[in-house]
Amino acid sequence: MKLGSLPGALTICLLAPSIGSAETTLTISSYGGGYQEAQSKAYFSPFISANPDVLIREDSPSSNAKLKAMVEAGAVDWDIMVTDDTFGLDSDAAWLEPIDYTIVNRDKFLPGTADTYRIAADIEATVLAYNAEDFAGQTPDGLAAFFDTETWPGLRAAWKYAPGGLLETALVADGVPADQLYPLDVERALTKLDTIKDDIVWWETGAQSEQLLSSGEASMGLVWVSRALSGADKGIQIDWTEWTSQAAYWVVPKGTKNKDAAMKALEFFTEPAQQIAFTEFMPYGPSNKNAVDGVLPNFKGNLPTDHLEGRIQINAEWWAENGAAVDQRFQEWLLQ
Amino acid sequence: MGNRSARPLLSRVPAALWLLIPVLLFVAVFFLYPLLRLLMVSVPGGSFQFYEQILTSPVFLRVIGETFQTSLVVMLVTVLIAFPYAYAMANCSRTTLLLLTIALLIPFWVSLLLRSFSWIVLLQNSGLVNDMLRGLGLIDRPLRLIRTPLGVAIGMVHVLLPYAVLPLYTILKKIDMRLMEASSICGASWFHGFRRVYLPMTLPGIAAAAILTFTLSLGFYITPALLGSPRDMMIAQMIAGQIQEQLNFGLGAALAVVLIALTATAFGLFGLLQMVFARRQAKREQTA
Amino acid sequence: MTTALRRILFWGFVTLTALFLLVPTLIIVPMSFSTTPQLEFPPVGFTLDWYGKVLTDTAWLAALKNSLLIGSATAILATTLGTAAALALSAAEFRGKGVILALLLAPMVTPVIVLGVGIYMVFARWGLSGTLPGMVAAHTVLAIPFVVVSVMASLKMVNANLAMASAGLGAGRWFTFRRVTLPLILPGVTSGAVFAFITSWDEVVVAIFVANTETRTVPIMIWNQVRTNLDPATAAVGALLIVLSAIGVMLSYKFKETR
Repeated sequence: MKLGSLPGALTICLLAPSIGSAETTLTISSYGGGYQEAQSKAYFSPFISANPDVLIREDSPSSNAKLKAMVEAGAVDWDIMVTDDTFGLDSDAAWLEPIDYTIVNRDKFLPGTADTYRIAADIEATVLAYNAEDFAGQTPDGLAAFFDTETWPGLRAAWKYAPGGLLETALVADGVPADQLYPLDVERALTKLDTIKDDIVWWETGAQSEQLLSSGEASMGLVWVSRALSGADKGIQIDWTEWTSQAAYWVVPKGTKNKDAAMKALEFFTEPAQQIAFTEFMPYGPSNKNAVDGVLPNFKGNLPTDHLEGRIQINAEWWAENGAAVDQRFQEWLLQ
Repeated sequence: MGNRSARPLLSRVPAALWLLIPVLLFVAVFFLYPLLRLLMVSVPGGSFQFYEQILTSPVFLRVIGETFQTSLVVMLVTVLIAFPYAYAMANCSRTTLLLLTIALLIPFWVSLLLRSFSWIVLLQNSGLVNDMLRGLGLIDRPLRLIRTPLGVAIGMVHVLLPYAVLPLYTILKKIDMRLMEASSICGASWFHGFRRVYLPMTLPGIAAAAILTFTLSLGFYITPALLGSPRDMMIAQMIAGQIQEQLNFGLGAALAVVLIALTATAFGLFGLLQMVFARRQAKREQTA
Repeated sequence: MTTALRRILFWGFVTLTALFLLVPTLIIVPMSFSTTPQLEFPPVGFTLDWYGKVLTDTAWLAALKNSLLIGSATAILATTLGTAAALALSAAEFRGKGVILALLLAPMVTPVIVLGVGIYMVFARWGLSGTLPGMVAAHTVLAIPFVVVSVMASLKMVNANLAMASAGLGAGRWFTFRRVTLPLILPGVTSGAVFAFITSWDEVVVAIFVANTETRTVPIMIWNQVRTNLDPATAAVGALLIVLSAIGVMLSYKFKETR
């Protein structure tokens, strides 16, 4: 873009929002960064091309708490939000609209990815990523390395979110078999985390986790696959031996004025064509069973589905029941 | 003036005072009432449970303590850096004064958010500061600056420096440098003259700079949120967290009331201090 | 210590302080030209792509429009209310004047986070959350002190006798205000208005609690970006804002000169 055209672009776009003749504006809140850009390219843009009467306004970062606050205040500003495993369960009925399965086709989803209040957007993974330069050719082998700062020196990046898989990671590293994690022994997990507490740098958004690894601040981190991969040119590698599996979900806040349009959009976003297009930009698996075979080869070898043997599954039901209490304990522990 | 019979009534209250009504109403509705509301939310049904929780939990007390400590350190460092700068501004050529003023005001006019953003880039492990320290051979592993209390303090000092320099400068430029010259002619060393003659006269400026930086520090939110780590939270982050993440409005409101109370107390203490200075000064002038 | 050495040390320290003030502010500009998506300083390569990206992005432009709208409305409202208050406070001596002045200036020293949370709680009940009028009201509270201070300072320099003379000559109050007082205090009013605009333009903490996706301002966009996507596009926005601020500063100095 030449500099000369900037003022023109500025004037046009300043006027544009008021000229737009769209009848519905859908506001969608997602995780931001490269992930949301991929969603924008694979889901949002095709949707507005197909539905000229709908505009999509994007927001980020999404937040379960903010959604709840909006619903409580009766000022629902988001029509669709992206969330994690711990939200959108039947116990969250107070905050969410049920998915309208007369508009959304329930049969197309993989088992367990279409619930009363949420449908999966994609299947993700949190992996152990490390900066190869820091370890002189050595490669870690499993989550225990995260807690071994003698063999693997340097700071550790971790998600400041209790249900984000950190406690499960600590227990597995402490010797608990992956299939016997629940009910979680929270105190044991925190005791294990205490051993590296001073070495942990916390991240709250995906962008921060990426920055921590690629700037060399942390030598190792528990981060989302996509964030680990985008640091590949800075020497960031992934240890797939053990990883926690997660999904991203679409939810619709209770009281939105655009419920039907939102449901139509969700049906569109989860169609095979869109979900396959998404795998061009992101190393995540589809939730639509008809899209599974069409996944593009761009991230072959780094898709969660390529490493099923090391998968540690998060028990969302357990978290739904115990999440609030565990989170409180986690917050206290953080500040101790 | 048309209606003369209305005049006696109006003239008892100066007519100009009517001009105050709109602004007072506005401030009452959009400033006083929200604060009152916070107070009410913090004591649901007249119960002080949230204050009890704050005063008995080591977590909250630690955050309050650390906020105090950070503010104190930031205040001291800011005033120490600001003093020579203000001194230079008060005693230099016009051109230098212009340059120093520009250097001071440019950051003042650029959003605090953007400046925290550059500090993230400068202070990260591969950032300019670490590169320079390594280039000079002072360190061989990058220093951990960002997401530490040190990083927060650096960012805060940067934001607060103009607030300390400006009140100091207004006082310093009024001081007659001939007094210093006189003391050195009388044979006193430079340092002696500075400490005994110059410094006492600058105390009101130092006090003003200190109170401003300290009280502003107490309520800092953006800089610690972007440059700090969740482990070394300041009280403003705790308030935002209670409201936005925990949805615990009562506790958030109680913490907000605590922050206001701390700010007011700090103002009060500094006010007292200033009065003491003023009295001492007056006594000194009497005995001189 | 010799005088010369002391001078060198002193001016060295002052120069370092000036650099400390300037460098973190100004590196935003070169960072915005970087060709790599990661934020680095010194930047790599040269491109204007980030500016293109920002200036054609409807979200940024909508935010810019909101910021300009809210800033202007805040400037008008705060200047009107604040100037009236300053006139009243300067015109008369009465009991409680100190208290009223303290009340009007209080938002300046109240921690913004406290005000943000308080306003958040009442606005939710009043239906003002996420609305433009709500944003304007919240920012006006923060801006009024600057107008009051600025106008009162310029009123101090106006000779009260002039207004009295005008009244004595039979001029009405409104006429006196418009033709005599206002022109004299205009520089103070204008710089108050500029301050009010800047207060709103830069404000982020209260906005975090009041704005929604539709009414979000440029600072809110930056706040979201810094937390989710650190890339040179944010630096490009920053550089544009620095240029805008510079223009603002120059304008306000122009007004001062004409005083």
